[in-house]
Amino acid sequence: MNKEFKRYRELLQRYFWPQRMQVSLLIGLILLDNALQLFGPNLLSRFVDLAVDTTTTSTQLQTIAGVYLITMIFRQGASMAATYVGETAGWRAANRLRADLARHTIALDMSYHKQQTPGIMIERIDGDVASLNRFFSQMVLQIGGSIILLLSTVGVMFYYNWKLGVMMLMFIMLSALILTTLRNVAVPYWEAGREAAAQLFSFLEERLAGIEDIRGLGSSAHVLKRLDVLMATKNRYDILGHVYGGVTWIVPLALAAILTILILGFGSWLYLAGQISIGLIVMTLLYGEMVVWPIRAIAQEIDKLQQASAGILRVVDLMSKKSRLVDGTEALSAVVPAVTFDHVTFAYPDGESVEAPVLTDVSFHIPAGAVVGLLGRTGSGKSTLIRLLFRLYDVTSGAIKIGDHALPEYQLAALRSRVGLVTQDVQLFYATVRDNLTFFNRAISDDKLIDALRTLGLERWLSQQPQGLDTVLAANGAVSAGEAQLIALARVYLKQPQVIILDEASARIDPETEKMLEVALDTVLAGKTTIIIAHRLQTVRRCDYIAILADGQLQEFGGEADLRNTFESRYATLLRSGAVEELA
Amino acid sequence: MKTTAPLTMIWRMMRQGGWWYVINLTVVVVLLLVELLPGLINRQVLNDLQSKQQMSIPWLLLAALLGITLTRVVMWFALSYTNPKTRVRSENVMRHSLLSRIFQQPAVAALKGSPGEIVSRFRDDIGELPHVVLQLNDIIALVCFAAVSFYVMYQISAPATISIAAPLVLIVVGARFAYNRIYIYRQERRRATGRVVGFIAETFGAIQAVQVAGAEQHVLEHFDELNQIREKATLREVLFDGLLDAMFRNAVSLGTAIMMYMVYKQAMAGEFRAGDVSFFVYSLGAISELLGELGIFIGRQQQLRVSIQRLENIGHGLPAEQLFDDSSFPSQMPLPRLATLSVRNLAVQWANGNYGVRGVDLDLAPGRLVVITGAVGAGKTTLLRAVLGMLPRAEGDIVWNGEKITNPDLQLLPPAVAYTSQVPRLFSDSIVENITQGRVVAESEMDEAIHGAVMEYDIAQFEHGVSTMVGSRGVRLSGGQIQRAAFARMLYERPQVWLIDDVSSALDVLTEKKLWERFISIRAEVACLIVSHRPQVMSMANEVIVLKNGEIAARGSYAELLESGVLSH
Repeated sequence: MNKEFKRYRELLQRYFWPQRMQVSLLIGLILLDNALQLFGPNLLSRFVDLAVDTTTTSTQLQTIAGVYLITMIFRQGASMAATYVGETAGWRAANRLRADLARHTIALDMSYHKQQTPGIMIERIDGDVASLNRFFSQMVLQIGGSIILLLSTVGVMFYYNWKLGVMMLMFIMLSALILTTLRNVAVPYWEAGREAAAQLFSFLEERLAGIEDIRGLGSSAHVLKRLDVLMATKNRYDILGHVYGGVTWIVPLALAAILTILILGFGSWLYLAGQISIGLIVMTLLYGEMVVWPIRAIAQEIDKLQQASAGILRVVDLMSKKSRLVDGTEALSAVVPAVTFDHVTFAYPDGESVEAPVLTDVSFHIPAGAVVGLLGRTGSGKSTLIRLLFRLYDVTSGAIKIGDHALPEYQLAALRSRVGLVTQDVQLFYATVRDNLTFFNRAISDDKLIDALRTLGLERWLSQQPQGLDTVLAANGAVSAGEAQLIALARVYLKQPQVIILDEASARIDPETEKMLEVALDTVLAGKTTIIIAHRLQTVRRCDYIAILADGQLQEFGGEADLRNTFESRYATLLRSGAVEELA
Repeated sequence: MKTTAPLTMIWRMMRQGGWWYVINLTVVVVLLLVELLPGLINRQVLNDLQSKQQMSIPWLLLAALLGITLTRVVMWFALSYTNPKTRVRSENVMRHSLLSRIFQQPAVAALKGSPGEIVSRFRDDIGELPHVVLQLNDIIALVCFAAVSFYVMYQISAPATISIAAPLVLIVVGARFAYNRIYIYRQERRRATGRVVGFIAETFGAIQAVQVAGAEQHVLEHFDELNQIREKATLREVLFDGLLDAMFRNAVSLGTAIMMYMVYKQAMAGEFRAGDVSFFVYSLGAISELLGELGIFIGRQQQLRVSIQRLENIGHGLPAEQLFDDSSFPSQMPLPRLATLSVRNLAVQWANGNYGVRGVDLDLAPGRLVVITGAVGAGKTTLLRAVLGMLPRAEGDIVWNGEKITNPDLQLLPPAVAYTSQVPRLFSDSIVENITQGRVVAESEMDEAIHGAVMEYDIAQFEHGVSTMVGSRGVRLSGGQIQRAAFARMLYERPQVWLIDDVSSALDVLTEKKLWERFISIRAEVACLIVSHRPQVMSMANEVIVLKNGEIAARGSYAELLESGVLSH
C-alpha cells in the first residue's frame, strides 16, 4: 500500500510539476477570490451602520456603493480566472497522461488485450484519467478553497465579536458532522440506477446492432417488451435515487435556514445588550448563507476524492503492467527468409496461471519463398500458430525462427512490419476507407491506395463509395464479408512484407472472385514466404508444402504433390473424403 | 418533413406527465411562495430592532421561521419525488415509440448511424428533453416569487426597485445570445469527446489488427490530435461558462450596488432600514436565479430543436410529437399455408441510382430449393434482403399463393418465413433465450433444432448446456458456433420458407458436410432460398441462379450450368 502510495505521488508529481506556475497562480487567485467574497457583506454592514450614524455624509455612502460594485466585479474575475487556470492545468496534465497511457497500453501483448473489452479500455484511458483531473480540481478548488473560506469567515466573525465567532464555529463543526454522516445515503441507489441504466442501454445497443436478426426472427415485439421491463427498473432507481439524493441538498438548505434563525435570535440579544451594531447582524446573516455550501462541498468531495484516488490507482496499476514480450535488437534484412518451427509448445497464459497447451511439439521448416498450406479442424491450433509467428505471444517452449534468428531476438516493430497477415475476422474501423487502409498513416499517398485497390479488384467497389476514399465505413452493412477480406489483403499489399500469412482468406469469397484474387495473390505473394490457412482444401492448390494439425500436434508435413500421391496420407484421405469435388 | 416545434414538444410532454405534472407545478409554486416568508420575517425583525420597537428577543417570529423551515423541508422532498415521476413518463414513451418506429423500417436501412450513436440519442436527447418541462415549472414559480418580491420592494423604495429592474432585463437579453453560443461550444466539446472515446474503442477493439500492421505510432499520433481538439473545445466552454455565470452573479452585486446608490438618502432619513437592505439582497438572490433559469431555458430552445431533429432523424422523419401517440407494435399478419411463393421483376435501387438487383424472377414452393450464387458484390445478399422486405423494393412484387405481399415487415416473419444472415448476431443471453427469442420453450423441438444445426456436441461440452450465457454478441462462442446457433434459431420455428445467407462460411469441411446432410431430411416440406457457393448445396438445388452485377446471368440445374460452362468446379 505504501509502495502504491509512493507511485501515486510520483504520478501526480510527474504530471503536475510542469504546471507548477499555473498551480501557484491558481492558489493566489483562490485566496483573492475568498477575500473579496468576504469583503462584500462587510461593506453592506458598514453601509447600514453609517446610514444610522448622524455624522455620515452622503459621499461616504456613495463611495461604499462604488467600492462594493468594483469589489464584486473583481471577485467574479478572480473566480473565473481560478476556474480557467485550474481546468487548463488539469486538462494539460490529463491529456499528457492519456497519451502516455495509450502509448503504454497499445504495446501490451494480446494476453492482456484478450481480457479487455473496448468499453473497459475507454474506462481505463479516458474515465480513470479524468479522475486525475478531478482529483486536482477538487482537491485544490473545492476542498482547499472551501477550507480557506470557512477559516477566514470564522476569523472575521471573531474579529468583530467573539461570541458570534464561537457560535459560527460550533455551527460549522456540527454541520460538518451531520453532512458527513448523511453524505452517502443515496449512493447505493445511485449505483443501482447507473447499473440499471447501463443494462438498459447495452441492451438497446446490442438489439440495434442486431436489427437484421431481430427482423428476421420477428421478435421486435418481444424486444420492446423487454425494453419496457428494463425501463421500469431504471425508473424505480431513478426515483429512489432522487428522493434519497434530495438529502444532499435539502439538509444543507435546512441547516442554512436554522443558522438564520440562530443568528437572528442570538444577534438580537447581543444587539439589545448593546454589544453589536445592526449592520453586523446583516453581515452575519449574509455570511451564514455563505458557509453552508463549502461545508457540504467538503463532505461530498472527500468521497469523490476517494473515487478519484481509486481511478488514479488503477492508472498506476495499468502503467506498471509490463508486456510479456521483451523487445529484441536484431533488424530484419530485406531478404526473403525461411521460417522454422522448432519443437514449439504453447499454452495461453491465463492471468498468472497457464492453461492446457494448445500446441505440442510442433516442428517443420519452410524454405525461403515457399508456400505452405496449413490444414486442420476448428480448434486444432492453426490460428494460434499464426499468432505465435507474429509474436502476439511468446512460445512456452521450443523456438520459431525467421531466417537465422529466433523471434524474440528481433525488434518487435521490425518483425511486424516485415510479416503481413490477413485474419479470419477482418477488423474494420468506423473510419474512412483511407484510414482503414493506412491505419492513419498520413504518409501513404492516395495514388498508392488506389493502386492497391485496383490490384485487388476493388476498383469498382471504390467507385461505388459515395465519397471515394473519404467514405466512412460503417461497422455493419456497407462492406460485405468478402469485400472486407479483400480490404485486408489490400492492407497487406500496401505493407509489402517478406512473409505473408493468409488465415482463411478465402472463406467468404465466392469462386469467381477467388479466381480474380488468385491473380492478385500471384502479384502479392510472388517470391514471399507464405503460410495459407484454409478450412477449404481448394485454397491449398497453390501450396508447395502441406502441414496438417490435429489437436495441437503436427500430424503430417510434406510436399503437396508427394502427399497427394501417397494413398494412405492424411491429406490424400481428406481429398477423397468428400471435399474432393471442391478440389477437382 | 416538418420538424416538431419545441413548444409543441413541451406541451406533449406536459400532457404525458398527467396528474404528476399538475402536482409538480403546484408544489413548486407553493414552495417558492413559502420561500418568500423568511425574507419578510427577517426584514420585520431587523427593522423592529433598529427602530427600537422590539425590545426583547422576538421569540414568536423565530418560532414561525422554524415552522416555515419544516414546511420547506417537506415540500423539497415532495419535489424530489414528483420531479422524476413526471419526467420518466415522457422518457419511457419516447424510447418505446422510437425503438418501435426503427423496428418498423426496412431492417437494412433502419439504422441512421452506428448503433452506439443511436443509443447516445436514446440516452441523452430523450433523457434531456423532459427536463425542460420541469424547468418551465421552476420558471413559473420563480416568476410568481419575483412578482411578489418586486411588489414588496416597490413599496419600500419605488425608485430603487425600478432602477434595479432595468439592467436585469438587459442581462436576460444578453443571456439569450450567450446561451446560443454556449450550446454550440457544448456540442463541439461533446463531439470532440465522442471522437476520443470512439477512437479508443475502435483502436482497442481492433488492437490485434493495429499490432499486426505495426501501426501503433500512427494510431497514437491520431489519438493525440483528437485529444488536443477536445482540450481546446473543453477549455473554451469552461471559459464561456464562467463568463456567463459571472454575469448572473454580478446581477445580484449590480442590483445591490444600485440599491445603495438609490436609497442612501432614504437610509439617512431612517426610512430604509437594516431589514430592508436584507430583504433586497434576499430577493435579488432568488431573482438572479430566475434570470439564470430563464437564460438556460431560452438557450435550450435551440438545443431542444436540435434534439428533436436528431430524434426525428433516427426515427426516419416521424414527427417527434407523434412519439406520444399510441406506439404499440403492429401485430403480425398471418399468412395461409404456402403453396407457391413467387418473386417477380424484383429491383433494388441505391441512393446513387445504381441498381443493387434488377429484374429478378424466381419461384419457391414447399420442398423446392433454389440456390443463389455469384461474385462478391453481385447482389446475392441484397436479393435475399429485398425478398424479405429488409430493403425497400424499387420495383417488383413478392407473391404468396397468388396474393401480393403488401407489408413484408409484418407478413414475412416466423412462423411463415425464417432467415439467417451472413454474419448472424447473438445477444448476451443464454443459448435458449437466443434460440427461442421469448417464445415458448419446447424441449423436443429445441433438441431437433440443435441437432439440425450440428451443435449437439458443442452443447454437451458446455458446462451449463443450453443455459450457457453466450456473452456480449456471443463472444464466448467461436465463429462457427455462432453461425450454427443462428442456424438452430432459424430451424426452431419450423417455418415454411427458409432464407439462408451463406451460413457455413466459418465451418470446417466435415461439420459443414454434416450440416447439409442433416438438412436434406429436415427441409423436405420447406421452401428454401440459399446463398451459397458450395457444390454440395448447389447439387441439391432444384434451380441455381447465377447473379452478375445484380442481374440474373444464368439459371438452371447445377449440372446444366456446369455443362454450359457458366459454373466451373
